[in-house]
Amino acid sequence: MASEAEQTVKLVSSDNVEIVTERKVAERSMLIKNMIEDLGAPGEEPIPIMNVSEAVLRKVLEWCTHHKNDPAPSQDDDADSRKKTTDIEDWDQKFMQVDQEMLFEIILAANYMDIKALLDVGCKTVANMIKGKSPEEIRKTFNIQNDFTPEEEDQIRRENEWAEDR
Amino acid sequence: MASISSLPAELLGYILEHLSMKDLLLDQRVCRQWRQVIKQSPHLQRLMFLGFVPSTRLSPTELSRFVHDNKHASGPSTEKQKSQASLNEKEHLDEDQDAVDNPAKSPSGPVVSFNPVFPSEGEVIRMRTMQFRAKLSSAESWLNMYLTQMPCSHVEATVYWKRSSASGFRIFGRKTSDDTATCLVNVEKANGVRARDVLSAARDCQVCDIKKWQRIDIRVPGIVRG
Repeated sequence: MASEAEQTVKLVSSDNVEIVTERKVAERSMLIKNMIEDLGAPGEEPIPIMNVSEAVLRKVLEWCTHHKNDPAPSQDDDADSRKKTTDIEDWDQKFMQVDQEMLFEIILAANYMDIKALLDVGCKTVANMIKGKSPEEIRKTFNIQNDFTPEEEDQIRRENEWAEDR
Repeated sequence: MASISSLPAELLGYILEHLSMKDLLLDQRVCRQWRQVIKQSPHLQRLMFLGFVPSTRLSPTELSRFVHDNKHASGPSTEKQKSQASLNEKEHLDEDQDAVDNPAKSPSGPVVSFNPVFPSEGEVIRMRTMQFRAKLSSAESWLNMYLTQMPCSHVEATVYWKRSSASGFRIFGRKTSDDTATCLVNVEKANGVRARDVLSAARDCQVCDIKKWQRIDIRVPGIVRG
């Protein structure tokens, strides 16, 4: 039997494409890691990744490959200690230079596949796109429909007027 | 197609967690979904200083990182003494007085440094006189904010006001710093002091007409900034 380092696993995307990857890379995903542990025989049984298409899965695996030797996330990484910083390391920043649809697909996939560090990078990337923008600019950037009535919007504006730039 | 609107609320919440208090306050106006997510997430409410923080793992020294007095907010100051703020504000006040008297000198007009929250060095929000005269019953969000993160159970507020806006003191054609008086107000509340509490305490002591208020400084006793 191959040593753990050389083991590969077979993943199947939502559009039924088989992707073979190193076990260590795939195990950045807690979803896959748990599945491998449950299945007990890695490499033989293909692992379906139901919600993720081939293009997105390949992108996610690219990230996992780069980060395969990162230390495992620590347990006390709870919501309270989550840092409010939006610093992103250079490689990740380049990795996230994709169109908005792919960006949100990556976030959804990272969430589904339970890859916390990638989810964080994705969320920080979006947060950086929001930072310092007015509500109108944000709507424009993300193509969001303003569904407030003018009265409602005015009410919220009044509550928070003091925080507006003057 | 994946877009920000197609994300589940939980994920939008993760994204918004990386934003500052100020961004969060403004972002509530983007759309209903954002407003809901921000209002319903205890974590986001906490980031905006609106929610109660149940426990703190921060030591007093660490807490001092989150607390600073208004001198930092109102620009460089040469004053060093912190413990007797009310006695040492004179020089500073005179400057403020100047600004009030000569609007030309300060393009933004008289700015009053009532800082309802002290989130971080870089993010102190300065308010205008009009704003801290807001009705206590109004819905302005800053009234509900804690004065510090983590919330303090005890703060000292100094209210500065104009002793006489009538002509009485101007007979000699000179305005002196005697025009300004101060009043120290102690505010204690076991589960944290909110901006609203300081305002109502300052009003309750009724030493002067709030229309004459110029500025409120807030100190957290026992925390001295290095």
